[in-house]
Amino acid sequence: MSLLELQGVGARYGPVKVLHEVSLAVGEGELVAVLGANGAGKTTTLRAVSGTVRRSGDVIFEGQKLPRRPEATARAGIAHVPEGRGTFNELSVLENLRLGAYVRRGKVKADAERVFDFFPRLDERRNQQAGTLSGGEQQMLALGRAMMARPKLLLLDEPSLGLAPLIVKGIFDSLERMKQKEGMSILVVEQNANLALAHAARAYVLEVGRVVVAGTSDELRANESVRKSYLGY
Amino acid sequence: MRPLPLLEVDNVSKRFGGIVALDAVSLSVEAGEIVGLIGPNGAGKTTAFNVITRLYTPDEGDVRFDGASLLGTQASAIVRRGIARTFQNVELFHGLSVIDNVRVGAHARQGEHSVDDVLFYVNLHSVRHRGASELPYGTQKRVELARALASGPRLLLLDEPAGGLSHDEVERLGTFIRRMCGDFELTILIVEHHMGLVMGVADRVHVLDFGRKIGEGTPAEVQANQAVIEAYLGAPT
Repeated sequence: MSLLELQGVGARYGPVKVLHEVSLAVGEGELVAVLGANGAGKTTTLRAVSGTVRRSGDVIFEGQKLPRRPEATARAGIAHVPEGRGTFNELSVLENLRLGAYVRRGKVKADAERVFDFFPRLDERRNQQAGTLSGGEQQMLALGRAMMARPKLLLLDEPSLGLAPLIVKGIFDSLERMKQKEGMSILVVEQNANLALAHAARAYVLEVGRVVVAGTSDELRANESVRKSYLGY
Repeated sequence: MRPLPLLEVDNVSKRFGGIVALDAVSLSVEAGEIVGLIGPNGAGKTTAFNVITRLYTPDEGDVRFDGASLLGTQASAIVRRGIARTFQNVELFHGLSVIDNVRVGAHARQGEHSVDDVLFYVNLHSVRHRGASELPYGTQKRVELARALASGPRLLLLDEPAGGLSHDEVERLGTFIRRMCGDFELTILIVEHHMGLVMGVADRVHVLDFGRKIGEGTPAEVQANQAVIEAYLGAPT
């Protein structure tokens, strides 16, 4: 059974319909990528899952219909690293991490240290205000905060945005480890399609709000139009 | 004799508390050039942009534009000196439409390009009445670019223009930046982590790490520079 299932999900911003009947699934312990051009509806797909945009259709999580309330989504075990990061800029790095654990109990200190192991840069800046971090460091903080929730499903909106190539590699390696060690499932929107497909089991390609291609990473890499548009070879 | 650089960052240091964000950094950009600025996260790239646009005052050093110091110019007057920028995290007026955002840029206009011209040029004319915040991230970055262009700058600072774009969009962006540089007679300084883009468009590249300049040269020279590979690029795979 899939951990997450979207069944005919639509979404709109005012009069502009941006998602049309999107259906997709993420299995337990699976990393699934969503690819697509700017404006294809990738970010909105993640927002539809976390309930941060009005949606139609059904979102099923662990066999249950998920209510369209972000706080219910978070409590159900879904953490969303949004576009634009959404870090609390007046709070310190450590306080931001603690907030990530707000919906659960226990081991908060140890988990914060785990995040600092992942991102030594954040450790050096643990008492600094988040607003004074560089853009890339804020991205690390947003990821770390989501890890603090120990989610069953992680929704990641362009984790590579603003990060140096070496760090991006490190992040995907870390995601792979979290997936294997903790059985976490991950739905990731990523522009670096080569990297995403190297780590994802399966992927969906969105165009103008619709799923136009779906398959395993190998199938997508063998698809001529996907190669040309998203992989560049 | 070499022509005077359009932009000279001369031995600039900037500290925040105990953190040295820029440590005696010098770099120059000649008129008409496209120059890349790369480096790991927290290296000081955006801080350099903020010093050049006068959002920050350097603790030491000078920034000269067209031979004259910028340190006596306030941030709000920088655009009238002919410098415009985009921001890493997109800083649009979210309550305003696309066209109104671009009009804000045009209030300081020195060039001959109208708001309409600019909107057509960056392919935003069809969405000009949409709210800026409703648009996809990559399109919002384009609105910022249009706002900057509408001020008629001589120097354009681009902070991660490829953010939110897919592979073929980044390729088109590279071509677009080169064409725009000629059409608008610009000089461009560009911060970007997408190496395909930087190496494709830049005439020269400067590399920062921990606030210090660790490399400078043509894209090919920088890609072969061992210090740059270790600090930033990683071994080629």
